[in-house]
Amino acid sequence: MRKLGKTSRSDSDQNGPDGSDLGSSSVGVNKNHDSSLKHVMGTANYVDDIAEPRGMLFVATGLSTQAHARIVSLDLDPVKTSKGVVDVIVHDDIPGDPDVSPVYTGDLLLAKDLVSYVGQPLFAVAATTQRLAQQAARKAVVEYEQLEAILTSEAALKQSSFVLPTRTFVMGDADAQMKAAPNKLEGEQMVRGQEHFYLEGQVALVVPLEDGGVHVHASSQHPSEVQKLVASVLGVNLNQVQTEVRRMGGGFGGKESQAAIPGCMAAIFAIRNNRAVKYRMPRHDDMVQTGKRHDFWNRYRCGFDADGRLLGVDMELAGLCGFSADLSEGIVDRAMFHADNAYYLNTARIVGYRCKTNTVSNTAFRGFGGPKGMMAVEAMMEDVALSLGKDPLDVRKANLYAQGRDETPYGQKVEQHILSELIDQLETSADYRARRASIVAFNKAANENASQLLKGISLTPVKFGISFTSTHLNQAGALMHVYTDGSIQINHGGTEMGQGLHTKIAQIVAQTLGIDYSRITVTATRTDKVPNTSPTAASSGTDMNGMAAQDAATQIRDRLTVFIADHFKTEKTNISFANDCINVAGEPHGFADMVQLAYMNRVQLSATGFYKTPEIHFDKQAGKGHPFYYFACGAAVSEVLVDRTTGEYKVTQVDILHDVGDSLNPAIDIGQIEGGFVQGMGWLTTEELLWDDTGRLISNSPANYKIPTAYDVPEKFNVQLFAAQNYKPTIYRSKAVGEPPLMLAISVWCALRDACAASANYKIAPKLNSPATFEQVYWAIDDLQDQLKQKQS
Amino acid sequence: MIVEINQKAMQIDGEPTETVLEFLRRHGLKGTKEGCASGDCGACTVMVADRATGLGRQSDPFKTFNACIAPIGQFAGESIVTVEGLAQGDKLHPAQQSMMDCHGSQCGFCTPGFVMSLAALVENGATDFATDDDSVREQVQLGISGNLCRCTGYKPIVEAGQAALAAAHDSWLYVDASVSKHQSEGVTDVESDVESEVESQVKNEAANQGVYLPESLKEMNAFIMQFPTARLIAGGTDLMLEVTQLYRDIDQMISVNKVAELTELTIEMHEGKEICRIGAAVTYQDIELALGQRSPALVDLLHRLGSTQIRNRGTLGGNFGNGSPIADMPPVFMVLDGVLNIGSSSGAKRASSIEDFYLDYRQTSLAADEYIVSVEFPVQALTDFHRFYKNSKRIEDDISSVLGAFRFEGCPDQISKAAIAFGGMAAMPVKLKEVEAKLEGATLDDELMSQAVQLLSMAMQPMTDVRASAAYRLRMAQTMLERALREFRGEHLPQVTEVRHA
Ligand SMILES: Cc1cc2nc3c(=O)[nH]c(=O)nc-3n(C[C@H](O)[C@H](O)[C@H](O)COP(=O)(O)OP(=O)(O)OC[C@H]3O[C@@H](n4cnc5c(N)ncnc54)[C@H](O)[C@@H]3O)c2cc1C
Ligand code: FES
Ligand code: FES
Repeated sequence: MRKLGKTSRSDSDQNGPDGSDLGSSSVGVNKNHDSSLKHVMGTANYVDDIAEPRGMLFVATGLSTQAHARIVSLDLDPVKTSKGVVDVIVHDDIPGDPDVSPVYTGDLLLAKDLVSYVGQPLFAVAATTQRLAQQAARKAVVEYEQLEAILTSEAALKQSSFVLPTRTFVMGDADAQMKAAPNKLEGEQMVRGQEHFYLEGQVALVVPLEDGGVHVHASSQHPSEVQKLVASVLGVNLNQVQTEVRRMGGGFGGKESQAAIPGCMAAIFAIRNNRAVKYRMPRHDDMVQTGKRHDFWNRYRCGFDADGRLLGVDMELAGLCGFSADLSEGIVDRAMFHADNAYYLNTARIVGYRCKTNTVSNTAFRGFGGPKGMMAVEAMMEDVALSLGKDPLDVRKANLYAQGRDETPYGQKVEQHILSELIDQLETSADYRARRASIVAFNKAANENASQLLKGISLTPVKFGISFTSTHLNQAGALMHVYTDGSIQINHGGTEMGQGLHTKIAQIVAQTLGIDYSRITVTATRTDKVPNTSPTAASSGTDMNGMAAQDAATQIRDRLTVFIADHFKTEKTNISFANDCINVAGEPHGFADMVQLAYMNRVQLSATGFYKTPEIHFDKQAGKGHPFYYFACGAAVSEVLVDRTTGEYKVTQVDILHDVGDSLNPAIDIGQIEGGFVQGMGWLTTEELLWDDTGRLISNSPANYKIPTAYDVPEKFNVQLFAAQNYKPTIYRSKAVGEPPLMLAISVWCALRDACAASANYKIAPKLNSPATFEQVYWAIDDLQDQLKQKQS
Repeated sequence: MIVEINQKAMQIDGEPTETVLEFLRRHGLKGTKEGCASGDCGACTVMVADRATGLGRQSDPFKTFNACIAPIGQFAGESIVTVEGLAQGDKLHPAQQSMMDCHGSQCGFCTPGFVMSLAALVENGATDFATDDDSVREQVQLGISGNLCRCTGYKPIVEAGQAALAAAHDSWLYVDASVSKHQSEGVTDVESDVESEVESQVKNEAANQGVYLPESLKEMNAFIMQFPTARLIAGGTDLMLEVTQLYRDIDQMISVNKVAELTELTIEMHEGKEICRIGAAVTYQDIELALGQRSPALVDLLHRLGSTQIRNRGTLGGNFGNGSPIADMPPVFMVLDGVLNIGSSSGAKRASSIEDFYLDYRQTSLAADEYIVSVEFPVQALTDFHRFYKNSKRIEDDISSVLGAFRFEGCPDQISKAAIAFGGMAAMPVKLKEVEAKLEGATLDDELMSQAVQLLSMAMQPMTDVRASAAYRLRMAQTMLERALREFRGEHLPQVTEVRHA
């Protein structure tokens, strides 16, 4: 098997990552994103760019201003008579099922008589322009009767207000171990959620069809769910609805369940008016009306030995789910699955609460709860190190999963132990020890001279479980057509949201058939081409759809092989596919010629492929099983410079070593790592979701919700791929890369915490909530100074 | 009214508030995207060829701006370039080519906006001012400061910018200073000689579209008299949010940014003092150009005011005119002894101190028929010790939580004159007279400093909002004062957030 080793994005297209000529090899090379030319030309079409059918209507919704209230009256006359308005609908106008929940129930497309969060849609209006629709939607007169609202996880816990039952993982007797442990500590942290801020907002364009069905152009990670929910709100069968997704302008989980809403709304109007209808949420509406990453309130206790090795751990993770379940079952589960991150806990009890609050229903976001669990255990690592006066890296290393210390709190054994080697390699390449020593000296001098600047550094690992934790979702399909000119269309169940999935699929097909990459076009995802698909989520897009595409390509290759062997009267073993040719007993024949020949001889040139992930199972009740096919790993070192007089800081250097198995496309994988890291950094630093005390989101626009800009990214930002193939037989031994890198950014948060701790000579654990805004860092340091003074007096 | 888009003439034919973005997309030019419609994301970035600068040194020939908050009516007679206008046949613009080469796009939605920002850097010869790799990088960062990307983490985009600037390019786009000679083709075009038509149609037909483009104060006064309810618009970076975020209609707008008297920046001797007069419609970019040499502190602050796109359009008049308590410029000009020159459609003129200009939260002393003509200040003030500190949640393109402006005269152990002003600390920008008085004439020692810092906390009651808590604001104001005083005494206090010096 190839070992790719270090790779970079600047290598040219045709060469292998090490500069070698890979001949006709299509995987492992830095192919450009398949839409990159269209991206830079401005010709890549997103839903809003599709030529608008004549007479199309535009939708806007009227939003609740109350967090929890009964609707006493709803006067829509001013809306109906507003300029340009063609149609207005309320809950009772929904022809089919008004509930658009992805898994459980409780997500109504339009509120009935009760509103459950500020921003919940009460009615929808269709008008001749987007602007007129928005203007009309503002004119409704609503009378509410206010009800008591629960707005925080603490309040929900107190009142046992949950969207779904609490779950617990138990491994051994953690209480007994903690009791007997020589050292103990406890802590808590508030980890705020995150707005997806996909650059392209939620949107759908629906065209009515002749038989009561609709064609939906969606910006969705889950076309099959859009299809299912549109059919269900219309009260028609699934076979009446087609969803088509060419590309999204970003998804990040925010278009997994949420993207069905615009489709459903537009579909109802499309059928009622027999006109094409577009619903594009303006940024403000998108920010207040659709779900985000969950806030988590984490509490932890642990007992540990003199080396910092954990003996017993007790964790309570409370996810703020909002008013309904949405995908919160799996999200809180995944927080629990990752509360160990890369560490063997020895004994543990991990409790996951799903708090029900009168806020928007939170949803999937890159990492799907995983980051929240990891934050708890990483804070614990820092605390343990501080309490023992150790380098946190030594504590982390002492706790890594290893041979014999390999059982997770949910019963799955960690089989591949690469983190120890990976961390050693990064520690050296990033010169971690020397830098830490100089930082400690720098901070010591800063404290002695009362100078303003402090530094912090941290190395944190990531071990992320790959597979959907709902076992049935781990299936994928593909449909491949070879045309008589030798050009190929491949269609699969995955969606393209920028992650380069289509590019990798084309590479896989090209590799499987030994043909030129340029023969292949990956077409828009459509539910009428590949049915019953799973969301493109859980980082599984390439793992699953790549296998399905390869299955289809392999069938075609096998059919051609059989035909050619027969036609040329030779053994099948004499036929090979390489260099864009089919070699028959050593003699190359052009691929297109062979395809034409096969066609003339009535060989079927179309195939469907299928894949299901093996080995996985999980018993939700027992909290035990084997939910993940494998783990993707990585580690990052971040360094920060902090001004203690203001809390302002700059991330000055980041070094990452990440495991993507054998990379299918190093350029794309590195892009995912960099992008995921910066998105995670935003989550933990500047992106602050805030509500006022009436439950209204006040960080409701990019003017007051700040995602990172180019300036925030350190100039020294080194990303390397770890050279190791997947130990599982995944597609070309690659590993999933979508989500795991986001959590590498926890190193930034830990580095900031490290700098705060430095202000008190590494003696006291700082209280640093997340996001660690400048203000939060300022108060964390301020609090430590107060504690120091108290100790001294 | 005619606007030139990618060298083709097009008729301006929509509502007065129709934005450039809406106009482009309505006419099938869908490469320019909407990510926010509030000037924050840059997905809608396009550029306008600048032909009137009048500021001594030629300013950038191509100016990027946010199409989502710029009314198309203001661009009558102008020449706009969009992402569709960059490539020449099969040949990509260097900005496009390097974005591809560096893998600078993932989902691609932000890409056209980034490409435009990078293309502007290339066309404007940004490297002419860059001395080394670091400054090239800084130029690129500044150029894309108004562009958000949620996918890539920016690294490949910055690399693409560096690559595009590294290679020497001939100017790729036309930079003819007058409306370029061109053939009009295509469906939406007007088939006639544009040059003459622009001249004759701008004024008349502009009126029909509800956007008036006076070229002199006299014309402007006449428009104000004729349309007393019309709104003044300069860069629109504030006003247009009413249109795109609150969905308000504005029937008539009088654009100030072609009025000769309002677009001048002059430095002249007056009663033995050099006086700088900045026309209300002068953009931040041009202020930087004119005064940057004299005040690095001002440059640093301007680089944190909005983004390049915002600074290419935003004006001083708009910053004062909106009456905002968190505007960045009022505290600055308060400490520079600035005075507002106010005009009226009646022809009357008056001058106002900046403190008197503000009455209350978002209320100014401007009467309905009045407007700001210019801000003037003694240039001497910039030779005094002065500092402007901005605190915001994000370093680039963010509204201030607190803005502190300081100017001290005297010697390190005694301040003879102190000027201290803050934004973000009250319902309007405030000048701290008590603190100034405390400092003036006394020995500047640690004791006095801590007294001044204490006094400051008593003088202000800031708010808690989405940007910062009241307590933090207060601490930051105190920190800023202390920092300014210590720097005045000669200490060097490094800042982690030091933004690049271009
Ligand atoms: C993304 C973004 C970032 C921003 N960042 C900052 C920032 O960091 N700091 C900051 O201070 N501001 C910021 N702003 C606000 C805004 O850009 C500035 O206040 C700018 O100076 C407004 O100028 P303008 O020419 O665009 O004003 P306009 O929008 O044209 O006008 C604003 C108001 O002033 C009135 N007006 C305009 N000219 C005159 C005149 N001559 N006389 C009287 N009234 C007049 C208008 O009628 C209107 O009410 C930001 C805005 C955006 C969209
Ligand atoms: S659309 Fe976001 S800045 Fe214009
Ligand atoms: S590539 Fe998706 S937002 Fe930039």
